[in-house]
Amino acid sequence: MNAHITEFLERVRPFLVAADEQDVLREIAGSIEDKEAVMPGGDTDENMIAAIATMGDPRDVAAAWSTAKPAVAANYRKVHWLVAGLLFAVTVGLAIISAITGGSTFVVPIFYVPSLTPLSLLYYLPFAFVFDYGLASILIQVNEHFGNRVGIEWVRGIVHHDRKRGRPTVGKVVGALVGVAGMLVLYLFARFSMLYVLNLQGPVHFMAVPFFVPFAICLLAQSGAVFVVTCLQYARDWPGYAFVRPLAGMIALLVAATVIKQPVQSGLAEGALRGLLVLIVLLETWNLFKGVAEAFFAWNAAPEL
Amino acid sequence: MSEVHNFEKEMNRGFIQLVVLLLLEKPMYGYMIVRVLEQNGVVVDENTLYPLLRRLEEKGALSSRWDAPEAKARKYYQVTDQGRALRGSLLEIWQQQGKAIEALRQEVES
Repeated sequence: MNAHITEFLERVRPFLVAADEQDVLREIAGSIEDKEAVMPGGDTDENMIAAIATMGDPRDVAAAWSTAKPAVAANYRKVHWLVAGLLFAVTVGLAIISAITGGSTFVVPIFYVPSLTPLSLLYYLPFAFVFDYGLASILIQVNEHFGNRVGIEWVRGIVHHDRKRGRPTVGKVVGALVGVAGMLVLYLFARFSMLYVLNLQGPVHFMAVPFFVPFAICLLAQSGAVFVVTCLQYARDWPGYAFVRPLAGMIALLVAATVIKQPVQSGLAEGALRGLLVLIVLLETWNLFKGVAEAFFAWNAAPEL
Repeated sequence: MSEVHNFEKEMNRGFIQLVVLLLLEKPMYGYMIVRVLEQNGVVVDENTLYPLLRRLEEKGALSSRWDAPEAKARKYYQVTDQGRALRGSLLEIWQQQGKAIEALRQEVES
């Protein structure tokens, strides 16, 4: 097939529904070739470009030619995933914070989990994703109904800024391993109380508080998950890892925090550690959102929003 | 002028369906249909025709087959028995509408 046609079809493809994708693309290709054949001069590059130009904008072509009806129009599908990803990132982030602080969590307004356990996670997270996906669908459809063209410029800005990441270097893999080693050392210090400080009464344990061990386990689990995904990404480049890495880190944090959840302690040290954990969760939430955005932009060959 | 064009597009929706059902007694592919219709004074946009062909196929009024003996793959459409029955009903409606418009026009003019 002519290279210009192939290029045009690749620009149409992201906006098609899988059900009739191949059929529509073949018909579009045939139609372009027929148009070009009747142009004066016959089969030339200029004629092919002119024939393709008569087709119009790829997303409009896809919307016009496809009869399959997606829940959200093809033009909006990428933005739909971005919004769903953002909502899910926030949901997971809130769940982790709830688990760490020993509180409850809920999906507004129908699904309330008074206290997170590993078992409740099994149904809470998938359910939350379905809910967030549906909520994103409604938001996009409302937007469509009022005739606005979706454009989230700041999302594009974030994605374009981070798109160069690609496959990790050996240095990044080693860095992730060093991160695991560091967290392991932290855990050993916490577990065996090897950190001492001197005060007037003699040597005392530094941060020898019940929360320090779980805190170290949380960080160890998170760094372990990040290391595993970084290794997988190094072995095989796949845009989805940008999404998987922060998600794996967050779920590891969530499971660790839920399993080892301690009764709420009073005292400055516990408060500071909990605050630090929450900060890590917020950073991972942000990374997860960026990951979702990057992954879906990369998958869809990034035609403009 | 553009207002007339918009009305024409609306009127064409049903009209093009009927024309396609009439034309496809013998197998034809999309671009061929566009050309034949043009030669008969019916201008139809491809972005309108192809989805219409697929919708009629989904409803069982048309059947299709891919024919690719050469490099160009072409999908040929042909009317089915169900399509012929639909065409008969649509033609009846069309004729009734034509008579109604003519009668109304004469009434207004007189």
